Amino acid sequence: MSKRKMLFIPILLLVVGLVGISGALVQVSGQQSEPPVGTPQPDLPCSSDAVTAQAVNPDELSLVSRPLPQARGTPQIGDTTAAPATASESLARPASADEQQAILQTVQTLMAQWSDTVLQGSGWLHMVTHHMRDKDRGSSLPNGQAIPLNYISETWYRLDDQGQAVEVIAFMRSEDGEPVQISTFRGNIWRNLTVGEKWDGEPFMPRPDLGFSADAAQAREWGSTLSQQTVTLAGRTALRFTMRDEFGSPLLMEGYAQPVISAERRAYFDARSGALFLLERVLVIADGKERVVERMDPITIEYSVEPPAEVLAFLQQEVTK
Amino acid sequence: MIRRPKFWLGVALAIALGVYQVHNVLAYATTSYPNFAGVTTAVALKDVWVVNSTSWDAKVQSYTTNPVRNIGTIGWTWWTFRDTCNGVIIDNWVQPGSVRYGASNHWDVGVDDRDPCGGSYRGWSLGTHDFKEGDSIWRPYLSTDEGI
Repeated sequence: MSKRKMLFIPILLLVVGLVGISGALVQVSGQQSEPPVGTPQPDLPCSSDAVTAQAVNPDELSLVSRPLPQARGTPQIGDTTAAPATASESLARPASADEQQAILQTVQTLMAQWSDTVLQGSGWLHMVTHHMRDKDRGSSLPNGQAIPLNYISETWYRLDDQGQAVEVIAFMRSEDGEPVQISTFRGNIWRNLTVGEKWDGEPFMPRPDLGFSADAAQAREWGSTLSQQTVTLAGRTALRFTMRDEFGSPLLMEGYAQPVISAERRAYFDARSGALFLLERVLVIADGKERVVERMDPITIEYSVEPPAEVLAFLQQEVTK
Repeated sequence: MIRRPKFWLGVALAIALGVYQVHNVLAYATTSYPNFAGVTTAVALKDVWVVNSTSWDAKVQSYTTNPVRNIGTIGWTWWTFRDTCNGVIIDNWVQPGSVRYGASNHWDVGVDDRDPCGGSYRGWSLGTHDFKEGDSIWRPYLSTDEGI
């Protein structure tokens, strides 16, 4: 075979492969072969009576089993009495591609370290987080009940030998501790017991950093920039990682009255243990003002603690839809 | 037998790009009604995708094709996009019905912010489409969801 033919075959395969696969997919999905017109351009049962938690050293992991926030007096977004993070070292210029990669590596190393601590094979993992959101408008459940902007998320994950969650019981609670929603995952089916809906799912790995390291791994693809600072957060030394998105044109998101021109997601980690201290999201409004639109505090993360019987009972509940 | 590395490199590249396309193209859901009103194929489409760490998009689209034909009414009777974390609904944005008259295509895209989630985080686009032409009416319910 001549060299020219040798080069021609892969190129031909490439073209035929792309065209063929695209066509097949269009047929599989039932869409017609021409592209769709108009496609745009783009009281918490926190196991106080539960079995002793394993694998947590309060000296090492200061976030483990902290008391839940009180219903009143909880620091709100923008609360100036809350201890601010102070930067003791900052990057004076945008990080280069190599620096971005190094930052990502640091995030992933911290996450791996923290995961090794809290995800130790099969057993129950219990995570409680406090979410404080600032939006101009909220939304409601299909049953008409308002979804609170501020809420407590409490989730029980039963992990298999591979560390995958095969059963889940999740609560959204008001800051007063009242249940707003309850959902479960059992037999590869999600069930939202509150709205009576269910859908297929599959086992997954819990994310003790609430997805920050996974997002950071997508930074290059998304055009986001990563930066890293050492800061003091409520008297503790923390590594703050920032993921910044710049929008080509002002972007109006649902629930906000004003368009934003850029945004940041900031994660504060304990440099020693890799534990997540705080996650916050910041939007930069068109006039340049920064607005902290969400703060998420980890409250409890504990391993090998059985859920209370009344919590486990939710796993057996069924929905009709 | 072809033993040249460049050849196999090309084949591997074609397969890799094909897989990449599969991953990216299969995100949406469609359902269609061939020979709708005897004049066209009506198509209902829903899609969800991540834009960046800040936001994700949900899309609804009703259109005609093969041939493209303006019909009496095209759009949707209701449309909602939402995000769920471990089965719990975090935001549930209910949009009013929207139709065009004498048109072949109608679409909308909603933008929602991405919330931190320690488990299964998914974006949804769901609702009922609306097609009318003469005495023919087609109102399919369609839903899609993706990890976001």
